Amino acid sequence: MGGLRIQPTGTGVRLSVRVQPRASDSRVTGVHGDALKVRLTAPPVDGAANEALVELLAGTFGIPTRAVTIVAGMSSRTKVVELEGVTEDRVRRLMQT
Amino acid sequence: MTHVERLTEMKVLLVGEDAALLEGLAQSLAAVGYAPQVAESLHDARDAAADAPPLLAVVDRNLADEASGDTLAITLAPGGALVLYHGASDDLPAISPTVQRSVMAELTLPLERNRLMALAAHVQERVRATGRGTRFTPPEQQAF
Repeated sequence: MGGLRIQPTGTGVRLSVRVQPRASDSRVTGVHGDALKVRLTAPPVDGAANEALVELLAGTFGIPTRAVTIVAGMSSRTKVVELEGVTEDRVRRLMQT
Repeated sequence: MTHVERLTEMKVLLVGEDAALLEGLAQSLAAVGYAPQVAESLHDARDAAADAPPLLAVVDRNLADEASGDTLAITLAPGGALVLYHGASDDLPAISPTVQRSVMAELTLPLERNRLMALAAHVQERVRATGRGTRFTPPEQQAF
């Protein structure tokens, strides 16, 4: 977990996410390099995986979907997301559970 | 879902690190009615297969080389088959004879994409003909 790079922003945090689409289930599975590793059942077609990622992160961190923004990597497996209303400490605590 | 629809639903597990290649194959398989899933590693593939065993597992030969035991240990559905693949320019690592014996075919992908589609159809037909594979339990026989 120590490898996860979390950058605080004025309103929350920004972090990299490594996505595995078309997986058998949707969940956060750990850390890949300095990014959060996430499995999604959604295919990377027509934005379905991005939508699923936003919903999964919102559910995981208990924030509304509008508080999750993909700021880079819309068509890449490695994305940068911003989570509003989430602290770095909260991300690290959730990753340890 | 009807009995016939359930029998024709076929999970194909694509295992490897080349995301672009596997996504292309997944889209081809999905377009003709298969249910493709992708796993990046043998570990992830075993997890995915334990949840719902695939009828066809298509595994990168380079990952098969890294298998610690004599088998890939990916659970297949009854009547299921294992296929290995490699790239056209890959150096082919040796794999154990046990793994080799368990493999239905070895493909060069994406060059032999059509052969993969034919193999998937063959396995699906074999399962249908023998009555193996996903079973449909009528609602009146399902446990409550």
